[in-house]
Amino acid sequence: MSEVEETLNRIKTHKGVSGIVIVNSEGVPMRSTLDSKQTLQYSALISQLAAKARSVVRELDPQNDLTFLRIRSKKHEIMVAPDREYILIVIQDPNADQGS
Amino acid sequence: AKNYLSLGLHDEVEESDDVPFSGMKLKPYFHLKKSEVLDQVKKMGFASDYHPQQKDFEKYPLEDILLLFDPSRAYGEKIVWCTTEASYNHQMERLNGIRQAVLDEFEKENSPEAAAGEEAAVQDEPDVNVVVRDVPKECFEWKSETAENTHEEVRAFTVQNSRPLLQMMITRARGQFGKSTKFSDSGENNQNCRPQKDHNFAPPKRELEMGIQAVKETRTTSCQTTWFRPVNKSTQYTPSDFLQRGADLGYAKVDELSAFLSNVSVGVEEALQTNETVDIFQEEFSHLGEEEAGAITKTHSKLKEHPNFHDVTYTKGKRIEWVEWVPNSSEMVVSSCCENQPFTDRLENSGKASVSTVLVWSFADSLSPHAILESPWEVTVFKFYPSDPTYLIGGLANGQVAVWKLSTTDLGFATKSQNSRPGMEEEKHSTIPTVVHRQISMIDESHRKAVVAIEFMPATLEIERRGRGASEKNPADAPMKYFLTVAGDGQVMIWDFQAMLDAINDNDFLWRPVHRVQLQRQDSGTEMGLCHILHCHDRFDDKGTKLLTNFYATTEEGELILGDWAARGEEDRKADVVKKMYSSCKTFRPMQSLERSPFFPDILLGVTDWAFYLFKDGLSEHLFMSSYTSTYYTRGVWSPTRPSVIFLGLVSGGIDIWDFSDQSHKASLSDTGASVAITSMMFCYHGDIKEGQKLAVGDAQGHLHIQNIPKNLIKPGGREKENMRKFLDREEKRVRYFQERQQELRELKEQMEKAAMAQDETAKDKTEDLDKEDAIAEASYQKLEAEVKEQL
Repeated sequence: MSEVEETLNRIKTHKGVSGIVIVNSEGVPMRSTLDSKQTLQYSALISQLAAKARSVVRELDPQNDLTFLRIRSKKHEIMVAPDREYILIVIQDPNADQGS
Repeated sequence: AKNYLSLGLHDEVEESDDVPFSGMKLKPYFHLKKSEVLDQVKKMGFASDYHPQQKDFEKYPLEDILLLFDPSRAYGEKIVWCTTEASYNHQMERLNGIRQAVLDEFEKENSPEAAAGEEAAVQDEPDVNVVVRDVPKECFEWKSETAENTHEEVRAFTVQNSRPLLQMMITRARGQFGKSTKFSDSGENNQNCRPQKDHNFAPPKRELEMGIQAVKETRTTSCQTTWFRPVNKSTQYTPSDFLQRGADLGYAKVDELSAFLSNVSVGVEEALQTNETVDIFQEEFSHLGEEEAGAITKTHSKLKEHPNFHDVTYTKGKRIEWVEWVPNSSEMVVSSCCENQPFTDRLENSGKASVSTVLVWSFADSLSPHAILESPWEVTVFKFYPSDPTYLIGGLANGQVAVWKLSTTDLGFATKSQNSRPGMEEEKHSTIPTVVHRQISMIDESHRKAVVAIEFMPATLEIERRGRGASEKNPADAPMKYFLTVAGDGQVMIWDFQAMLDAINDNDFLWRPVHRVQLQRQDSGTEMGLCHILHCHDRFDDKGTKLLTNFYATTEEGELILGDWAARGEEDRKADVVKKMYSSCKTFRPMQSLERSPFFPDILLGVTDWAFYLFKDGLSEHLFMSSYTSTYYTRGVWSPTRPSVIFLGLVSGGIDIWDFSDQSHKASLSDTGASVAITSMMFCYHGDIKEGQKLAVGDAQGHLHIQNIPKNLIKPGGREKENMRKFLDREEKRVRYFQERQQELRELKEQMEKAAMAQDETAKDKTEDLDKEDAIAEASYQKLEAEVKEQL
């Protein structure tokens, strides 16, 4: 438990990180630093998008697999790191002031 | 009843079918002995049945008492007995009679049997042995019991005449028809006859038979759709529906989770770090794509409004009639304000003296003007003297021309260093410097209507021979000497500024125009009021000599004219100043704007109320006419940097931007410059107009807006000038082609008419020929017919 917390803290302390969500393979959020409404939104939307991105990569080359997905928008960047069972979602706005 | 048995009235107490007199069926009569009755009465006393009538029993003479069973209670009791002898006898007779009858009848029945039995023993047998034979029943006539009732009922439905119908005829003597009758009071019914309720004739309706049918309001309809499955349109949820708190980290999952995180965190931290180092929101493409001469997109094309100049005391409710930028400055604007008065009010106020203002604004202060120029009349147009920008020439509403001399402070040049003038600062805060006009033209010699345009003539020009001619005498760098003014009275006046300058401080100087020309309308002879004037600088005639005295002017009826103020008249005719008239844009409303294109000196833009026209010098028709607009135009200017862009001000306050490189059938862009009608527009030509262009827009409510032009309206496309030139050439060709074609068609028409005339004469001969032919044909046919008949 402490290792998990430690890693999450390390990520959180980076500049501009506004939220972290860990989602399992079914799309159910396990851990989150955002409020429940946003958590739900992010988990539902991002897990679908990650699944779609993975299927794109694998269709183009079945030996390939998705390792990282970055969505850059006007206001911030969403980083999605998928794994076999879980997905880690980090939202960062590097121009924002550090605020927890 | 129990006593009946003891009395002998019946044989058995209980009713049974075998014994005829049993139960309640009492014997009809019975004899009783009187002594027995009396004995019983004595014994039993009150308990005896006969007690109540003991006295009657004692009175009874005979020994036998006859009890009668009277079921019908004719005498009032069920069991009666005869009290008197007479009745006893009567009853006995009756009884005996009945008895006898019964006996007789019985004997009668038995005797024929006995009698008949001897005669035919054989016949007895069939009677004794009943044999059932299956014989079809005989049909009798059908008798119905209720048929008669039914017939009655049916007959009751119709009404039959119970008597023959009566006929009545009411006549009147014919002589009395239509005669006037005289009515007189009758003395009989002096009392009023009141309606009286007669209950026989007004039965109250207790029951009413009525039939009602109710129709449903609902209707069933159906329609068909191709959609076959239900689709989730919207869902509403709260996060707590989905977030299962139980799915939180179970202790079994911790290892998996930590393994996962350690795998993933490396990449994530790398990505986070790169984001911090590099600016991820920098737009690389923002500087590209400006060279496209493409369509004006909406994203970049809003006219951004810079300060908005408005002063409560001086500009509120007034119309900004004319705007000029202070030369050599992009920070100062001068505007003249006129009252928004309808004509009738103006008439009333026309004789009164008033003070009108021209305001100098500086961008530094948008709330109060920088300086004020006062004038006795409203300034309808003004221009800076190009050679010396401290002089401002204004045309007034009564036709005079006034000149102001501004100091450098007024023009804002010296305000840059405010610290050096501490003294002046205080003054500025309290009062705004006002400047009164220095010189004003003679009122008799000036225009009779408001001056509407001032145009400076090139410095090289020199008017001579009292205005009849002009020549280029002066050196090119000399100060400008002359300027033209026009007004609604149809006069074009040439003023000598230089002479005025020389005598500017002379209070007795009478400023007169050097030359004046009156323009008149051909058809009506009235004066042709003018709205704008543009001097033609470089026009050459056939011989190659430069025409110096030509000018373009627009009239109050919307026409464009090319005139020559030095025209000389013939012997009997007056000088024809108007050389050419372009009346294709005649709208009977004054032309709103006349501008020369900064890129193509022979192209003029004329803006009328509902369309704008492009004219080319030399063509007798307009090159291009825009489509009619729904909101009227009030002003139009060419863009100073883009050859194919025109800005038009609208009555609604909007600005329509036409870009000929994009489309030429409607405005490319529409923007709002002001909220009320735009009354003046002027571009700032000073400064780097490729970087930040400014357009001063004055509106009808006294606001002076400075609009910043967005980049794509400043920067011309790569080949824009060429494209525009090609467009104009194309239009020119079209115009010429049309003219030629029209000429050809006209000639053709004439020829046809001539041919038609010639043909009319031969037409008569032709008809005669036709008749002859007919006759010949007829004759030949007849011959043929005769031949055939002969053959037959």
